[in-house]
Amino acid sequence: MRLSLRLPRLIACASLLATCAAAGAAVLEINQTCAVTGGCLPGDTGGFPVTISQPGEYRLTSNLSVKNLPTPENVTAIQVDAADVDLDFNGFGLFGATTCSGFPTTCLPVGSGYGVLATKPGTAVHDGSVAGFGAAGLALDDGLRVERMRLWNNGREGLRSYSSGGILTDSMVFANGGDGAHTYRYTVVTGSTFVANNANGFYGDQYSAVEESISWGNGRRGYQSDVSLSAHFSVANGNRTSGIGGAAYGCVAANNVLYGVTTAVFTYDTVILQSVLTGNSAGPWLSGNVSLGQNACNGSAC
Amino acid sequence: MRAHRTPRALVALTLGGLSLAFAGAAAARGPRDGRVAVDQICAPFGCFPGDAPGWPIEITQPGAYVLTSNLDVRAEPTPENVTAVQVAAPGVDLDLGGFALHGPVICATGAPGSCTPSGGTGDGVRGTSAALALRVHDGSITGFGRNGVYAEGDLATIERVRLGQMGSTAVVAIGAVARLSGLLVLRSGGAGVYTGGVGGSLFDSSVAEDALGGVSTGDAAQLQTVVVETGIAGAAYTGLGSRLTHVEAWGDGKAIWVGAGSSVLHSRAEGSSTPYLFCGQQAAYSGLILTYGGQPVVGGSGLSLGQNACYAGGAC
Repeated sequence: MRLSLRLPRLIACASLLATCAAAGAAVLEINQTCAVTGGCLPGDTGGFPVTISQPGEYRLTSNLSVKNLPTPENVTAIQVDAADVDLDFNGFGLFGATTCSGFPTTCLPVGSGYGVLATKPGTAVHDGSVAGFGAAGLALDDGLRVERMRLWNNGREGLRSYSSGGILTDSMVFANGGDGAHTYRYTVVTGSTFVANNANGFYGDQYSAVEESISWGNGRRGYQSDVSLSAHFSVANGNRTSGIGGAAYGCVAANNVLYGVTTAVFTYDTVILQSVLTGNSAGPWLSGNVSLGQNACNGSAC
Repeated sequence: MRAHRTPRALVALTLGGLSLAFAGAAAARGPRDGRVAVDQICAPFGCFPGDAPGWPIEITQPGAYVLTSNLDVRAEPTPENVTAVQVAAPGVDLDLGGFALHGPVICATGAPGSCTPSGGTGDGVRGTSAALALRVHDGSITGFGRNGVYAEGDLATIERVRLGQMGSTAVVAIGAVARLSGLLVLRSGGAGVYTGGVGGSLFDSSVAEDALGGVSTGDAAQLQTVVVETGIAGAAYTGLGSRLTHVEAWGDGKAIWVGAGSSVLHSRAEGSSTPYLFCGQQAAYSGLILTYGGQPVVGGSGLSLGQNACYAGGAC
């Protein structure tokens, strides 16, 4: 939904484009002032969402807030309609009006607005926060890259992608209304934390690897996959169903409501190696074709 | 506690509108990337709207802030009770910009806990419970009366910061899901690092010569690639269901101490007294070097998964 802020744009467009987009600079700037007046970028006509329609590097130079707009849960802050865009949050954040509470987390109001909605592949998002949007915090296309982001209190997922290829690094995904992060296939997750999200902590539909991450207190599994997922040196603790839905290497799966480790939803084999599985209510792992080595199950070798 | 104003601040206030010229001056001198500049000159007058004159510099709005000079509270009366920066808003990114926050505390080399002045209440950076997702990065914090960083809100991130010689614990992050990395922590009067909330992480850090322990975490924590040393027991101490990998720990007994259901892999625990590793119930370990002072090498109820090297006993 584009908001009606047309009149100021006619007056301010020329001067604001010069300052907001830093004409001639390699990195184009986006901020609240240009977003709600004349538009921040070539092809961006003002109002939310700020539209990126050319490849390149972009940098936030203020927070973007949609909190005070009518039905903010349906407002998207930034829409990326070009491939190969690098969006540096520069320490700033995108903020909406949705809040989440309770355990499992529930969020209100839920709507159709995203923090960042990318319709083309190759979007990189880094170094900032996205909180309080009615739909997902980030909705990205093929080849996504998300680094050093804090995603919380979004009405659905913190990060959502229906496309292939992704890297999620050094990020914190907390108290969102759906999965913490849900990607389609070929995703690598490193050094990230998924806590108290309504559904799964991380859900990689197919062929994902998780390393050095924590998933705690999510409403479903800690790490979930439809077909294939491997978790390395990671923690799944206190999740409302099982801890790890895939292979576990050097992991801790503890105090989950169902199993410590299960297979992915549509596969039948997995391996559990050098892992500690303890205090999981339904058992250390779901029976099936499981290969074990050097594991501890409730304090005994297994 | 807000510190007394400096004489310079009083002069400026006496001149009425002149103080307004100082307020916001840091922003005018600051970077052109939209971040709000913070420096020593504006501190006595207020650096931006919402920041009252004097210490601490108070950040009450979300956004990105960057130091453009060192911040030094040592000239204040009772500087050990002065906090340099207080954050009371969510989503604040505080880039130390390679600069340092300086307090008055000095801790003697080779005598852990001998820090003067003692008993202070000032922090380098203090995040209140409202400071959700506080991020502090890229600089130094030394000599504050209490903590270098005290973060009460969830989702705190502290990255690439050198901290030393605090009156108490160098880093305290009591909210959930704290993420600490690239820290150099040395010689504080309390412990090195404490993450009290669930799901805390410490990566790629060195924590040493702190008087009251090295690293202590809540439940479901992870320590990865950490060197930690302390002169007392419990160099690395974790809560339930935690994971330690690639940890080099030295302590006077129980160099690594993990809660129930935790895992310790591919690490070293050494010390001058035993045991070197202490495990809660249903914890397990593998690929460890446990050595230096004798037997027994392991206390508590940990399960060996094999491939360990134990003091004078070879594989164990």
